[in-house]
Amino acid sequence: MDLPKRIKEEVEKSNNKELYSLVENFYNKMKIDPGEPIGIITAQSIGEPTTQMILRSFHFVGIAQSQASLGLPRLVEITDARKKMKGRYMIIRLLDEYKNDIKVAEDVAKKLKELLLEDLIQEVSIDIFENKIIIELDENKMNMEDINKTELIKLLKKRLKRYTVNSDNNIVEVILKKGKPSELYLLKDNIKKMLIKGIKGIKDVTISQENNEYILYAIGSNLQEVMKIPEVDYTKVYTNDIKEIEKILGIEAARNAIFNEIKKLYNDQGLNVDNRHFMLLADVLTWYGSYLGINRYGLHAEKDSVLSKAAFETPIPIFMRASMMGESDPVLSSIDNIIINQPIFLGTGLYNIFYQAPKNKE
Amino acid sequence: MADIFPKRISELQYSLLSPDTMRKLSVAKIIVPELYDEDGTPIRGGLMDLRLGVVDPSYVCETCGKTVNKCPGHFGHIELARPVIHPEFISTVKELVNVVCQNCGRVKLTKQEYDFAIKKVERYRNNRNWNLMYKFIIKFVYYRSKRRSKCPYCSFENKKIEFRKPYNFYIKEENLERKVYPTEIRAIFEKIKDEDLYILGFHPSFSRPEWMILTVLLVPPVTIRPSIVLETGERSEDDLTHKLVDIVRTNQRLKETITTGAPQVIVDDLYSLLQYHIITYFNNTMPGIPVSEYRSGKPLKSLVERIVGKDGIIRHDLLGRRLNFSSRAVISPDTKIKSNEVGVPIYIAKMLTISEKVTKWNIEKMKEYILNGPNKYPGANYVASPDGRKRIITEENKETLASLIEPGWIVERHLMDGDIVLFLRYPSLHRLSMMAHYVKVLPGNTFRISPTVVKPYNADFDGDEMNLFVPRSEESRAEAELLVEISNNFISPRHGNFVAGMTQEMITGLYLITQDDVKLSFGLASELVYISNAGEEDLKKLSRFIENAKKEGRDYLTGKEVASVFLPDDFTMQSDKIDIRNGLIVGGSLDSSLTKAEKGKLFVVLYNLYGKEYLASLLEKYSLLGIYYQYILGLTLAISDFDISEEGKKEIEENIKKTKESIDKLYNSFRNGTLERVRGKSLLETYELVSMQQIASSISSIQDILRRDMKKDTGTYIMSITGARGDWDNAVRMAGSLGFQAFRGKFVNFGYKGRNLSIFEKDKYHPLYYGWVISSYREGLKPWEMFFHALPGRDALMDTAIRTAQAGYFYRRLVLSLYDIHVNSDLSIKDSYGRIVQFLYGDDAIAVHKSISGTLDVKLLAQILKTSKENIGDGSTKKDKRRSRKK
Repeated sequence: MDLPKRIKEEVEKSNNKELYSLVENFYNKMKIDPGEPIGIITAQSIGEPTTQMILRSFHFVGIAQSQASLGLPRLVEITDARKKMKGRYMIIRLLDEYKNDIKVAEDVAKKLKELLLEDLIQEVSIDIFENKIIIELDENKMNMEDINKTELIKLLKKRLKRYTVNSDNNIVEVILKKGKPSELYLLKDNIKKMLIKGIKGIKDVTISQENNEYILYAIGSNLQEVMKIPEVDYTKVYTNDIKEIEKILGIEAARNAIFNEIKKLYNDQGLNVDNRHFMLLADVLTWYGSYLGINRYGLHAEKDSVLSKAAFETPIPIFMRASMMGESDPVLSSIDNIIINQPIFLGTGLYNIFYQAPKNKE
Repeated sequence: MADIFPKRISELQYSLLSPDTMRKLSVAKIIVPELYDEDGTPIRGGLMDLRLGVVDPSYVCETCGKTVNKCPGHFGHIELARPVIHPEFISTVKELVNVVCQNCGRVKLTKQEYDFAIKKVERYRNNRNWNLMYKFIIKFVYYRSKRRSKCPYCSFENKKIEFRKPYNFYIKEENLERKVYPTEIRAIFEKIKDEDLYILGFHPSFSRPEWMILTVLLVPPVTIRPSIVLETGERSEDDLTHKLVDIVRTNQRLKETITTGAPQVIVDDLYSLLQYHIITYFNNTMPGIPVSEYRSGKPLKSLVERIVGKDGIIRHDLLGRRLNFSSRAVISPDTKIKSNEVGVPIYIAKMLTISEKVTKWNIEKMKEYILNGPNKYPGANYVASPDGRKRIITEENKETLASLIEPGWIVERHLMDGDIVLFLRYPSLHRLSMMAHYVKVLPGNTFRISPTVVKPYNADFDGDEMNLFVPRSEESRAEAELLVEISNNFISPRHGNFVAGMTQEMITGLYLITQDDVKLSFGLASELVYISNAGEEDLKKLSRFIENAKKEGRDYLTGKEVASVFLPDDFTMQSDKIDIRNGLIVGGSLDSSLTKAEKGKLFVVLYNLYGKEYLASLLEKYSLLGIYYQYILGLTLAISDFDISEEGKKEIEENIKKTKESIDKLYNSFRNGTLERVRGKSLLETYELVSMQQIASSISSIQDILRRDMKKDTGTYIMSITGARGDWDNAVRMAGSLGFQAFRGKFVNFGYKGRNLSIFEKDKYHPLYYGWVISSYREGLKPWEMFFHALPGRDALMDTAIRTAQAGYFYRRLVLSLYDIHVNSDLSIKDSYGRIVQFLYGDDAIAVHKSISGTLDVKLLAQILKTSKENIGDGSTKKDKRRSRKK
């Protein structure tokens, strides 16, 4: 087999034939053996250091306020493919022409940060008798956020087209023509969470200067919208939400994100684990074309073998389904073979040695 | 393997048992709820019927005529008076009953949908895509037909049969609610045509839906529910037997009430009691169903509980099995043992045996072992004749047995030097926790291992115990030597570094001997080399060094030369730590980054160039050299090591004073509310965060002071800079200041109201009263500081206890999702079903456990090539050279 590209390039640079053959020699020696249970090795290489993980590790600069989980909880979060993850954040870089410009950075930060109606009001109250919601705007807060009152009311009227909206100075009334009181409460919550400005999901933005470059750290994540902002270098936008990456950029991007996240996690903990193990884990997590977690609803549910599934968790429903559907199984998996006491198809069990006895010449 | 496993199960088929199959399986119909008559003999037709197998040694099985432990047990059956839904299928039944038409039994799909479904299901079944098939059936067949009330075939208007927990079905007919009995549901299921079964997920020859509603209950053989006789002579029955007695009794009563024509209410009561007993017989942990208990209140263990969980049959018995020929003992260190050996106490060696086949070449030796008997080492414990009969060797019969044996017999001889055994330490978190060692039989009571190889086992010698197991077959012994032997596993598959290596005084010793100004007289140098178990080649090299020194007019060898004696002549390595040229250490010194386990860069390179045998012996030699040089020199740790100059002391005091002031300022601004908040955190959180940061930065500046000011020639300093033990954080704690004792990342805050201890000022939220320890260990802590200091320690203990459980579960899930993935012949990664994960392992197919720190280092190879050319003048590799030298 040929040398891998990276090594080949490095050797060819030196233009030394002897070196080439030496490297080739070593490469052939270092190649992995067929039959090696690399899955188990990977699992051990990733699983063994988790027992040494420390919970509190150092937060990195710029995002002291992030609630992102670290260490083992984060690892479990990644491998479980959780939809609702804790402490999502983004790192946003600007295009080359803007990256030294603090003004652009501040502008973008303002554009990013989500502003909800509840940030601009004193109170929202309900008048059950007249079937209306009374919103009391706060001028101070509005001034702080650079919001024009008339424009805001216009926006409110546009958004609440289905209802009658009356305004009087700082008081805005939303009147429901018909409907139950429960609808009022629902509407009240919706009004409070109404997005006035910014990008949904971005709770806070801080700007920090690193190597003469302004970088924006955002709490919360909305990849799609942030990438649309013209000043932002969309090739360098980072989010720690892998599910979101899968949704917006596809499964291969998610695979790379998993790889990078796990690698970063182990490096932060000061644990030395080879990249190949992270690669294999990332590949397995995205094996089925979607990002599945290592739990009984994810990867384990996709297994073909009944006994393998049963050996993990909840064996009874699995047996019941198997017998109901009349499933059959070619017993290839090693757990199945261990259960029925047969040699497994791994390592030396995968290959046989045949010896041709020399024929008797007599 | 072919001999041991002549036949192989190639396929497993899961199916439901039909009532007919159950009757055919059964050897006895159970009708009597009583177990024994007055004399204590099992009643025929009762649950302990002798036809079901035997557990009592005084009986013989009536079915197969075998005795206890020989009879596998046989099934019986109970004919249920009325059908009962199998509890684990209730959820399926409740779905299915609304999927099929109650009138004609067809699936309520249109012709088009039906054709689509049957095609799709057939394809899934042929490809064994059970998961996809199941999903499709639920999402398409069940979903569509459940929503349709009118049957497309017979135009019958179906009413919804409602399920109500725990196990009742109701139907609304003309505003009247009526109970639907399992009998009716079974009748509906019986109507389903065979060809319709496929799209419902069933298969006519393996499973029919009506089989989910039991008319016959299979009674397990007595061998899986044995009764035990208590000391009082009383019999105690298994939980399953108790439950089955309930079922038989209720069933018989139900049968009687039906035949005598009792009122419907009584029949209903008994019917639902029977259903209850059958549910709790199968599964006593079902939600919504009262738990069936003994009179004492202890819940009965049902069939499901026998299977499920960590102590269930699958995980406890089928996936983990016990073994013989193993032993366990405390381990202790032995520096003179080779790194791939294990010291086995004689008394263990006498108990563990290796089966050796007698041949005409070894028959004399074998006779000798037999004559030694089981008590004299080296002896033998058993002999087995070719027909498989095993005889114990005793003092009385050893002579006769010795004269009896001839080629073809098997002798179980004692464990001897050079045998290979598996050695492991729990928790076995990675494959390096179990490796093969060669036996070295030693006096004493503990296993002995070299301290250079404890790292992969994560062992120490404070009372750790390890297990030893003797492989039984030639094949397994060959695999142990070629794959599992420790010197084959010196490079970790986790990170590609060397797992064995120096520890403690070996590191400091090697560091000290490779210092620049070390001069050793020829005598002392030779002594050190000899004591380090030098080989022939090493001695040759030593004499060469001495001659060279004499030529140069020296009457001494440098320490570097002595350390170089064990290195190969053509070895070259240059890094920022060390400069080795042609097997001679020219500059730098050996410290932990080169020699410590899991770091030792030197060893990885040597391992890759010169092979495992060389490394195994080098480890031994270097560890002895380090230990003995350190032994001659001595290394002392004293309180005075932490003495610092007056200026240094002053500086530290100054630093702490400054920190105090700035924290006071911070405190004031916190009280005034003028402190600027970190975004996303409250005022209090900001205050805690900032003050902790300030204290931490003060500690790090104290560390700088110490680094500059501490004495450089003390034992502590040497240990710390070589990386043998201790780091600067420890030094700061001992000589400088302990710093902030955070409890769960926050201030220590509990105890009295408004303060931690009664001696503090109330409501003063200042770090001094909430966890700041200014003193160092050397000065001694103030009483309150001791309390603060004790807290994080306890916190860490709790934390570890929780985390090990979490990590354990995570690890289990990880392994169970990856275990089948292996390397294929073309170096692609596949699972055992042949599905590809990676096309080429890790993009370059390099195995981490064969690499140098995970890579193929071209630069290193170029360096080697260069020097080998300079010296040897030809292009042959190191290994060839070494080989030729050996010859």
